[in-house]
Amino acid sequence: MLRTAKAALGIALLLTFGSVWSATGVAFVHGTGHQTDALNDYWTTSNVNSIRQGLSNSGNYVVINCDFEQYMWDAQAAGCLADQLHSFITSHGITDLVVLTHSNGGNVMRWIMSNPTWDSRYPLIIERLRWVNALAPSSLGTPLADAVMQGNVFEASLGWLLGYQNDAVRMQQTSWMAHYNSTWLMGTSGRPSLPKGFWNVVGSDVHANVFNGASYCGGYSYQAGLAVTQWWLDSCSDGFLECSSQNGAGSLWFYDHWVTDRGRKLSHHQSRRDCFDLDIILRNDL
Amino acid sequence: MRYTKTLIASCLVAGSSLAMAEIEWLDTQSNDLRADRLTTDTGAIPASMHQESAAINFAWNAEQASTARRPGVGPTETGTTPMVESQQYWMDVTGTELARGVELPLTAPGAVVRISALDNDSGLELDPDKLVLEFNGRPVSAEFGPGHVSTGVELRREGMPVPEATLAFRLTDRIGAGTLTVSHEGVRGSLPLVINVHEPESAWTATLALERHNYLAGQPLDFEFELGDGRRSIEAHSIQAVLASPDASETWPIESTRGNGLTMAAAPLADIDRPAPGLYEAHVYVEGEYRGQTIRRDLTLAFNVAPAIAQFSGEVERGRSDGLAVVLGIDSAVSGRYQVNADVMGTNARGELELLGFVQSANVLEAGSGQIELALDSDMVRASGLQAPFEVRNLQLLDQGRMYLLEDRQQALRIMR
Repeated sequence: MLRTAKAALGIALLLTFGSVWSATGVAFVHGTGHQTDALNDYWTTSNVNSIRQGLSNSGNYVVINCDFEQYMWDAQAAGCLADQLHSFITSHGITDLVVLTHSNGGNVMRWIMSNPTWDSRYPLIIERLRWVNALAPSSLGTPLADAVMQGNVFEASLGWLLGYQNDAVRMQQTSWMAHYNSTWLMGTSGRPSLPKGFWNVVGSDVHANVFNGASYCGGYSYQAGLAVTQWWLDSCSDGFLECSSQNGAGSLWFYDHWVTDRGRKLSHHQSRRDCFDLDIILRNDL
Repeated sequence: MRYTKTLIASCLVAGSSLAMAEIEWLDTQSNDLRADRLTTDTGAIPASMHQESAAINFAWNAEQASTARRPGVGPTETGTTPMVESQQYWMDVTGTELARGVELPLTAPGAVVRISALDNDSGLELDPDKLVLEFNGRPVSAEFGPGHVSTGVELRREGMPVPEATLAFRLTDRIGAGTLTVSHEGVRGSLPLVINVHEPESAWTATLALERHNYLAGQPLDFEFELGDGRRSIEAHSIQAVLASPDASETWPIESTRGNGLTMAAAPLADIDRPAPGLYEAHVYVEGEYRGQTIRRDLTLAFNVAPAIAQFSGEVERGRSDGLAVVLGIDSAVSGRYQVNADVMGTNARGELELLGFVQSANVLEAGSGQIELALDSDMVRASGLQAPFEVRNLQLLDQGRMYLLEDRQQALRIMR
């Protein structure tokens, strides 16, 4: 009798508070840059609005605005991200958090996941995290960052080593990311796995042909520019990152052409836009 | 009577040994990182930048990250030691030199050349129409065609943070190994510029490697260096190499030895008056020659150097937490927030060691003797189905507030029960 009553009470509680107990939320984490309006300037409203339709409560979303021109562990980078995620979780009662990162945003999020003892806000964020969908993350850095470090160390003053690039660019040099992956970050080959999933979406090419419709999603001029930056990258790249870097930590979720509309490939610019049904794929994952 | 005393003494020793053997340190490995002794020069240690003061312990299951979705291939395989490859080089020039013509040795077709002002706000405008190119002494067309030349404004829009005063172009396949002379008129005479030559199609690659990503101050640095084309290695006729501090304000020469060797007897520490986050960088500029063709390459390898400010003391005891817990003694020369990482293995039904999970713990410690407890809760241990003996591997001691790796032991502890 008592057991039946307990079961009935349990079912009633589930029906009453079930949605509260499994409140799903989504966070959009931008890449390198000091963002103050990432919704419009980085992700676009149409993309965010499309993706958040997948939530049972479409108001459970947050667009992060931080200074990711700093090193990933900086208070203005990981500290700011933790602050905004922690506030989102507690103010909305989020129990099931999906984080969408783009580019260097993946490194900042991976910093939090790899260093749970760094900040007392980190453990709650990790605990509530379902997984990270990492759109074109720069997990192994990029040769473009190597190339833009100016000057020859034997021919000029060393000021260029620090003075001409921000810390995020220095950090995303391939040799620097190899160091941080070996010592402070988890999830790369041979290192401890991350405490939650880090699923990579890999963009594999840039279409910059005026007769190719794929060149126009996100803006043709961006595509043409990314085709130029590919000169410094290997044959599989999204114009900013090589595929090996995008799949350098965590696990592969998919290569662009496996799932996008008509097998289109995503440039680095397009992987943060509603191009080729990427928004629908991300929406259906919530 | 004497027999009884001996028996009691033997029992005590045996009992003591058993207690001690409950947790034992495993032998150190040749590539472990550990100081012989702590530094006494604490005045040369920068202040800790940590902001957190609470003790935090966090453990997680090894499979936690791959549940719910079937993982695809990955992550990308990478080496465990630092290594860089280069098919490019940089030259610093002035406006006068660029107007006169700068000679760039090339080893293969399809080279990418970028000319930039060294300063971000030089006010300079580089114009593709003013570029004059000669290859092996004869004029070649500078009409690159659509998609073969780009400006700084275009590259910056794509996230490549070059100065606006930049011109980048890719050479056609008709321009291969030889000497390219580049000139551009109208640049202020003393204006500093940099030219980056990237040869993605070249077989000639320089590599630079070290044994580890982290060193303690005073340890020797032995670099492995090679210049080759995949079929042969050649000895460079010119190698210049320096180590730069994280803030780039200090450099130390790296000695070049016979057979492309590069070595430094003792890893230095940067001046405490200029504390800067970031890494030390070895810069190597090399020039070689093969069948009359000059090959230039630049390399940059990042790693870190830490002063020996803390280490595991060797003391270890069972922790007070439920589940599987050990308390590790730590000796430190200065106060700071110290972090311990570990992989924990357990024994499966077949008697084999299997990965149980990962644990990380951190706390603020004053200078002297302190302790940090690593704990996995009983639910996690029970759910794993693994039992004693347990092993702790890849035990690391880090300093969060100064970002140093201070000790790293591949095999650390055996916990018998």
